[in-house]
Amino acid sequence: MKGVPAQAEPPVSRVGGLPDRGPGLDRRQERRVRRVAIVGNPNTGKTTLFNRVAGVRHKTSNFPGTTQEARLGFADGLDLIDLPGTYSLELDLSESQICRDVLSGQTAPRGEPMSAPDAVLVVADACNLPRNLMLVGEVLRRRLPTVVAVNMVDLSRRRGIHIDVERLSEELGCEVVLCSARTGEGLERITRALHDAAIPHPTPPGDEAGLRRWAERLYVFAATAEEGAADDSFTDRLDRTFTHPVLGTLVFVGVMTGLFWMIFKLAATPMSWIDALFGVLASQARSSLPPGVLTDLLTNGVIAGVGATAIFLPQICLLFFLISLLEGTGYLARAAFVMDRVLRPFGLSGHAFVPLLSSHACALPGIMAARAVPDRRDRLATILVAPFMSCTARIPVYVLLTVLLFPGREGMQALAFTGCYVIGVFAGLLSSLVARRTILRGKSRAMAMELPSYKWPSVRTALMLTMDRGMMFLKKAGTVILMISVVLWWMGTYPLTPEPAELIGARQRVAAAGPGAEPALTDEVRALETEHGRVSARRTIQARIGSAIQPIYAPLGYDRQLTIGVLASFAAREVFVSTMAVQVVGSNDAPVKGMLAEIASAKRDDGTPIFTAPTSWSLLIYFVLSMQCLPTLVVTAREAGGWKWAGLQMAWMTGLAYLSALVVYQVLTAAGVS
Amino acid sequence: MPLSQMPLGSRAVVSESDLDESDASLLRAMGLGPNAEVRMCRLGEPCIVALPCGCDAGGCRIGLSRRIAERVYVRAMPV
Repeated sequence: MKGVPAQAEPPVSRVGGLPDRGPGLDRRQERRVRRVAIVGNPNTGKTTLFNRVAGVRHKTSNFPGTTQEARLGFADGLDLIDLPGTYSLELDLSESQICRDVLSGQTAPRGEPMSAPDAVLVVADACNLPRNLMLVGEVLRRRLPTVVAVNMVDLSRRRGIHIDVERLSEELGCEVVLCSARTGEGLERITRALHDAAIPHPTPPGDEAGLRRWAERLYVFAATAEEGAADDSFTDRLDRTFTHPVLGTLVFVGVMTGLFWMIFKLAATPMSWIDALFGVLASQARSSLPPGVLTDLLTNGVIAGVGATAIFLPQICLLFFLISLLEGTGYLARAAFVMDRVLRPFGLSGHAFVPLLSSHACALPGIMAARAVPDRRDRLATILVAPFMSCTARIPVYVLLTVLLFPGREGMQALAFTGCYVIGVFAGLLSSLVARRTILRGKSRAMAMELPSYKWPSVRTALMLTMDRGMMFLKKAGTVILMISVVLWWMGTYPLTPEPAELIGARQRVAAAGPGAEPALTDEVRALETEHGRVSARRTIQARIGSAIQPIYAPLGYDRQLTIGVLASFAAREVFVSTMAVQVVGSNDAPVKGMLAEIASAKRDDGTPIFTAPTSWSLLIYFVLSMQCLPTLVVTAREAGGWKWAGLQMAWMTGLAYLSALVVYQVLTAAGVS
Repeated sequence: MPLSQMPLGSRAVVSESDLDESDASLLRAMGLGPNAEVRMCRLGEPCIVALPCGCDAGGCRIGLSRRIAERVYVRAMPV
């Protein structure tokens, strides 16, 4: 609540003496806590309002059997459920269905009780009341205690729209609060009103035409607008520019280039801090703990694995932050129409733009967002190709390989990095074209989409989303990746090979000679230690598995360690970097000089470097195109309606990746590139 | 006449559409149903219309593919 002026006033019916707690706690035993469902049209500032009221105390949860998400928050004795935005409760769309079912108590987000909410908060846009009142009417007909929050009143006042809140409240039979989630105006009245909300008395008409007449009559009755108060010519000009075939495309390319440039430019410094932090942690652990299995597990398993992943947190946070800001400006909806022109020849519609853009963060929300694609065939094509878009899990691998390919040449690194994204997009488009000519014959469906008004984006909303996604990533690094790192460390350490008598004898001779030991003797010990390291590394469980599968990847230039890295990535792509770190650091007793540098100097069993140019290019292409994400396959099967689609996606992507990487490696090797 | 043939800056009232029901119901829920007043903001691909929704100061904007704009019919409003 910090920084929200509205919260300065004590809430009306806060649960007696209880401090605010996060959702998911055992708070429902308190009888006065009310469960409130928040519904509203898209673009009404519903998310901003939720963020203002719930603050940082929220979590995201999905509905059982679906991929629709709701955010759950807790504030002032209210359990808030922020439902997906919908234009109507009666549409044949999944978000509409979810809202219907939550209001009737037929579904609830995972972990929430399956019962109708105690109250409903309908968020309406003050600048577009007649249409928003239709949704209000649909909710009122459900006979649940209701409060209507007429949001963005600061904007409507500037536009000369005046709303008589008392008249509106009287006609609707429920409390109406004028508010602005942006400035915080009226928010304390919303929480108070939700505690006092009662079942509204009049019932609006049930048929669509009757409801429309009711909403229009109500608007005329309760609102007045000053003539000529608004001038839309600026918006008209911006719209024409942003959707212009040439100018619009140039703006789009410029915006996207700027986005990625900022991600790299701004992330570099915090990334080096995190890298240094984990380097110091590992050195400290090594120097302060007694040598042994536990220290080895901590430094070479836990710190190496988690550190190599956590380093990418700044880039992931920046991507979500900037995309959220961009969405808040209203530009992204225009960009969807620019992209419609690009996507249509490949059998995708502009509706696919948001799912495909989201897939650049993670294919899971991308595939979930594909539910907004109205046509089934368009939707299936979008789902099938979404994982080709370079997700954030690939960023660690791209960064590692581009840095290895072009050490110290940041311009070339950025170019190669952008190239990966472009290759991913083209592979996706071409795959869609193939699908639309074979298994999903037909043209893409035409687009109809609301274009939200241009405004300054909410930094708070962007920060909330960034925090959410950043925590998700860290949680993954602290759970799945930690577990995989420990397992890999174990597989890469055991069974232990006893030190040969020769090495033990040489060590004893060095110890006996004391500080004056001849250099030849210490060199001998070092050589014997290296040899022992190699022999024991080859006997580990990991080495045996890697050696058994490596022949499949040999034509792509991958050795045993890279094969392990590629296989482990199937759990999650970013695991590749931690896997390489654990393998490399585990077989190398050199002091930690930064994980990336350690990996860069890694050697094969025969002593040659792992990351030659042909191998690095081949790996890069493999990671751009390959399907290496179990959760994506599960979601594809669920969203597309069968495992055959997931199987097809897996076979097509991995086959394409293997063939492309094979061609790249063989051509570069034949050309003498090293 | 089809919405796609409205002159730039002109106003009209939606009369009917021959879209399939899922498209038509979404348009109606967005406010682009029978008797809705529209102002043409951009012609071509996409076609952008403003819906004053009761007052010129408010309302919303909807972007439409030409294929949809060609199948929504409007009658011109007197200037």
